[in-house]
Amino acid sequence: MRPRDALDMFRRKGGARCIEIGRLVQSYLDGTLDADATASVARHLDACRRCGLAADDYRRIKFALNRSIEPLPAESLLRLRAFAADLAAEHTTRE
Amino acid sequence: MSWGPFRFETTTIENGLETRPPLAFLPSNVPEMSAKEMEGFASFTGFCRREKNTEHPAASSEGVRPETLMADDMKPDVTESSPTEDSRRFTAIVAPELDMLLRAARSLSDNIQDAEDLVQDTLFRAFRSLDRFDGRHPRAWLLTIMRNADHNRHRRRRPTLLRHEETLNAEIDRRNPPSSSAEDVATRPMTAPWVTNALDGLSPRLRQVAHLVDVDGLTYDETAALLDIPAGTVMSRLHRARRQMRTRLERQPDFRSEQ
Repeated sequence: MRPRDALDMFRRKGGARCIEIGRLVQSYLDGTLDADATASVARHLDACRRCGLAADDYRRIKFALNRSIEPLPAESLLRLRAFAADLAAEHTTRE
Repeated sequence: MSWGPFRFETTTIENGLETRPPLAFLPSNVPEMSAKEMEGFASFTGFCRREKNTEHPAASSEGVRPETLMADDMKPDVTESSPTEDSRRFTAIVAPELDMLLRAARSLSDNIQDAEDLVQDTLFRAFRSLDRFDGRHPRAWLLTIMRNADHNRHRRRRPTLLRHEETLNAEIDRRNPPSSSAEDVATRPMTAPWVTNALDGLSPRLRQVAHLVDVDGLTYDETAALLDIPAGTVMSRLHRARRQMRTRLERQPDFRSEQ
């Protein structure tokens, strides 16, 4: 890569801090960062429009996926509850 | 090392026990057991596999037992006679996790019946190994048991130890099929079509992890336990999945307008 291309890419991505935050933003949204890193990412997302937009996109994707959950068949759950209860009961009656 | 579990993993049925030939890594000097010894040892260790829905009282040959369809207060209360500590512990561990187990099993299965069978197998194994469980991370413990039960299920169906990458991907694809057909999208509650399309556009492995974490709500560690991969791999696959989805979605006009 030519130095000019590297510089263009660097500018497009918003600088070193944005690249670093870009690596952390998903973990930040998942709540898996420590307190210091969380505060640092939050400060940057407030200040940087580009990273703030990216975080909004990831939030939107997570939220939409979370809503897309299909309900479980009630009769399957009923059968499994009965199965678990019978397992425990069988053990009890054996004692 | 205990050889017991491996001795009984064959696909033949002998004396009502479903058994399986010893794996290739078993030493050749381990003597074969007679059918009678096998039956005795199986009942002693509990490592025999039940024929489907025939042996366990919770699964009758008719499928659903009548009392499972009754309201809770109408069921015969078999636990009335002072349940043991183990039984109470088992119920306390398992009861809150049944939904999660069925969701996870659904990601690993072709259909809901297979998923239900997998959960039953998991519960049975969990109950058998309850005394070895230290009480920490019950979800991860149950998911690890489910993974082993799932491995056994697939070994029984396809007894091959070497699996090509493409075969594996095809299998994940089959279990987590893209659901972008009009009917599927319509039956999914509150699902934005753009997110279904983006999810379906992922490779099978990325889609599976994204589904388990972002749709089914498992943590990285729980997903790692279920798929038998490191938590770091779960995280990197998940992040890659979301990045690819975002790249795809940026081109869609309704993506940023949806709330």
